[in-house]
Amino acid sequence: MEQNTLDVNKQKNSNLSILLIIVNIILLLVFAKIDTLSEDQEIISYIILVIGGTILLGGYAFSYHGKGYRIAKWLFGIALLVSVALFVLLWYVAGLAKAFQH
Amino acid sequence: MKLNLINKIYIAITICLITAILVKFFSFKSWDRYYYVTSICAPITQPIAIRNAHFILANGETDFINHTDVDDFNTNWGQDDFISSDFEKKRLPVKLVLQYASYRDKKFYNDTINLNDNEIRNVFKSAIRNKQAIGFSEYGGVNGKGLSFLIGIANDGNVAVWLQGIYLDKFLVKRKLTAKQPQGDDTYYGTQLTKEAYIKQRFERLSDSLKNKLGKGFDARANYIDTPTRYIEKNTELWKYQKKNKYIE
Repeated sequence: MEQNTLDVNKQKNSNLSILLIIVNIILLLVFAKIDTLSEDQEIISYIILVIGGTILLGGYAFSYHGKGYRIAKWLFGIALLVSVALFVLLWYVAGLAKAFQH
Repeated sequence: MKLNLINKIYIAITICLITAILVKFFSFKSWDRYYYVTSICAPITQPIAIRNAHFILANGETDFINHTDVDDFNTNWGQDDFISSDFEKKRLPVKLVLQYASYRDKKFYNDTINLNDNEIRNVFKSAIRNKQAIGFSEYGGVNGKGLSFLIGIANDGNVAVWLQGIYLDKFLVKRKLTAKQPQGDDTYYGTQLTKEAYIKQRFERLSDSLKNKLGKGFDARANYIDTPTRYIEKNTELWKYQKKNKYIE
């Protein structure tokens, strides 16, 4: 009985977490978009979104343990990979831009 | 339900984000931003060399104004010639900073002109309402609709500012600047020069025939500052054509 209430509480908290992750990502998007005037600045909003999303997912993945929550760890892994890929790409582009300076 | 640690953190993040969004929104003031471009003109017989021309915007930002045409002695009184590059919605200008030297009287001007941003805002609003805004394009296609500032620099330090659109030529302000002794970077052109050397260098490319004409006193006492731009008159035919072909409403 005790165990059951704990499980229900955990389930409720988990649902709230998912809702808050979604809300926070939407807020991040709004924050990034407010002063976006031209397409050049769009890349910055992608960076904010990807990093923010990864951190939010990471918090979730490391807070809930057990069978039903394993998918969160997978999602976090994917988000982390996307972040790393984005950084490698940016680093590469910055390197290219540097090479084109005369 | 008892909140666990991660949800408390998430809620804290949410509150921070909402605060940050509100702060950013109210400092950015997207509702008080407009599309506009700016050009500077001078009479062909009153050549000037501009060292610095920029607006100071309502949020303190600096908006530099392109003056290559004037520096090439390539403009005429009332002639607008804007380039719509680096194009985005900006806050309205509140001050105009001008620093230039004139060829004919060898005088230096360095002054700030106050602009009435309430008046400018009203012109923008009514122009947008009455479909008088010009469509500006970037990479082809119309990006935004706005108006065009025209700054006229006439002889004897007279400066006028207009705000123009389709069938719209609103005179904003007229000021007579007082000439100042050049100091500091007033005479800097590649290197620090004397007053005479600076004038000589900046007006080196002015054609000899024009220099000759000006030397004989041609058009010396012309009163350009009170001469209207004839902007509407010059563009009526173009607008009629554009309207007929539905380029403009």
